[in-house]
Order: sequence, then structure tokens, then C-alpha cells
Amino acid sequence: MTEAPVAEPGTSSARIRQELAVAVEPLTTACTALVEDRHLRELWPEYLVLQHQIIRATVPLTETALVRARTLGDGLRAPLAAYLEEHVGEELHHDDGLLADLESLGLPCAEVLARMPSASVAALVGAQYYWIHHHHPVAFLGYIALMEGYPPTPELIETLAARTGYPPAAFRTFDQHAELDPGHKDHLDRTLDALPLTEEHETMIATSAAATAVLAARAISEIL
Amino acid sequence: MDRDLPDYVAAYLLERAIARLPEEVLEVLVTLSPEQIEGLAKVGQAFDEAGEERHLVTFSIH
Repeated sequence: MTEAPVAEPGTSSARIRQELAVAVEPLTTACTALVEDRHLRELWPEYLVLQHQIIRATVPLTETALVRARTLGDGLRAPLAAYLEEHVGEELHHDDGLLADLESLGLPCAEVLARMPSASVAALVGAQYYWIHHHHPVAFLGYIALMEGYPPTPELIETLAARTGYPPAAFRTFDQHAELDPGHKDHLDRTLDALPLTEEHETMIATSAAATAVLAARAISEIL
Repeated sequence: MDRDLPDYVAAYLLERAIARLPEEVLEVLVTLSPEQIEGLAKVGQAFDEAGEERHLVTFSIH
């Protein structure tokens, strides 16, 4: 149902995607458990609330990484900042779309926003702030690689609609990401291959991606 | 599973490496005879041999 991302062999993006293919396993386990859960209809709004809590941080996180990238003294400064600047534009208002989907399921915006995100969500997003501020903003590319590397497929969305019984309005954001994220993934892969990445940078990106998979999986598991 | 199961049901669950089952499924399993469980095990084994796997999915939005 989900195709693994493919990149040109021997490139930075290929090496990082290869690391991701192994690191993503906890997320696969959590996603499969969610889709197979016999209470999926009740869980789906909870899952969307969780996704909103994560996605609402995407633009601020990217802007934080952008500010830090502009202070770098290495060769990544200009190209990383250029990518992050474009990435902000790619991600604007996605959180609003999720709120609309939740509204269609009967969950008012105020109720969604009033919920305190779990410690796992804070850890997932917070780890990125830490690495951006206290290590190197290139680590944030691992978060993006993981989060955008596995977009929902049209087949998955059909399955989810059939198993939950919810109308298409509940899956608008998923539809949108099924269409947009493969292009965003290609954009990231081209960027990874164009950046003057050292082995150390690639390790940072892979470590960040692996942590993202573990923490995103934990956040999902907590709602099951 | 905190309940007493017939030995042949417990052996079946062990053999199939099933650690968690919905209570409703367990209710049905304990009503089956040893012969019926044996038949069920054969069906499961046939699925294994046919290469049927659990359908894993990974998805994320950003």
C-alpha cells in the first residue's frame, strides 16, 4: 500500500533513504496497528487531533531552522537557508486544513486547540528545536525526510474511508498530502544531493529521522 | 490473556505466536474442539505457505 521512497544510488539522498527504510519500522508498526484497529472509526478523530498537534509546529520549526541556518559559518548556510525558505511556503496553512477535517467530524476548532499535546508530541517536536538551536539545523532535514517520505496513498485513503465510514470531507488533508508530498519529497532529495553534506551531516540527518520515527510511533501508540 | 484456556487452545496460540486477541475471538476459540483447532491451524499454516503476509502500512503527513 505504501511504496518506499527511491533515490539515485550512491547519492546523499539514497544513503539517507536507505537509513530511513530501516529506521521507519516503529512507525510502520504503529500505523498498521491503527489501520487494523477495530475501533478505527473512534480512533480516527483522535489521530487527526494528534496530527494537528504535530503539524501546527511545522512552519514555526522550519522558520526556526531557517534563522539558525542563516547564522552558520559553513558551506551549508546559503543552500540550506534557501531550501528552508521555500519549505516554509510549501507547508503554510496545512494545520488549518486538518482543523477543517476535524470540524467535519464534529470536533470544533476550540476543542481541538484546548487539548494539551502529549509529552510524546512535545518530545517529537522539541527534539528538533534542541538540535536546531544547540547542534546544527541540518538535523531538521531528517524530520522532514521521515514526515514527508511516506505520504498516504489514494489506496490507503480508500481503505480508511471504507473502514471508518467517514465522508470524503474527513480526508481532505490526507488527499492533499497524497498529491503534494511526493513532490516535496523529490524537492528534499534534490536538495540533499545538492548540499555539500559531510558524513557527519548525513549522520545527523539519519539520527534525527530515526528519532522522529520512534517518537511519532510512540505518539500514535498512545491513542490506541 | 488472564484466563484458563484448554491446553490445545493455548498450544495453538503459542504455535501461531498470537499474544493478543480480542476477547470476542477468544470466546469463540474456547468453544472449538481439538479437531476444529487442528483444522484452524492447518488453514493458518496453508496461508503461511502461500506467502500471505500481514499488510503493513506506513504513512505520515507533514
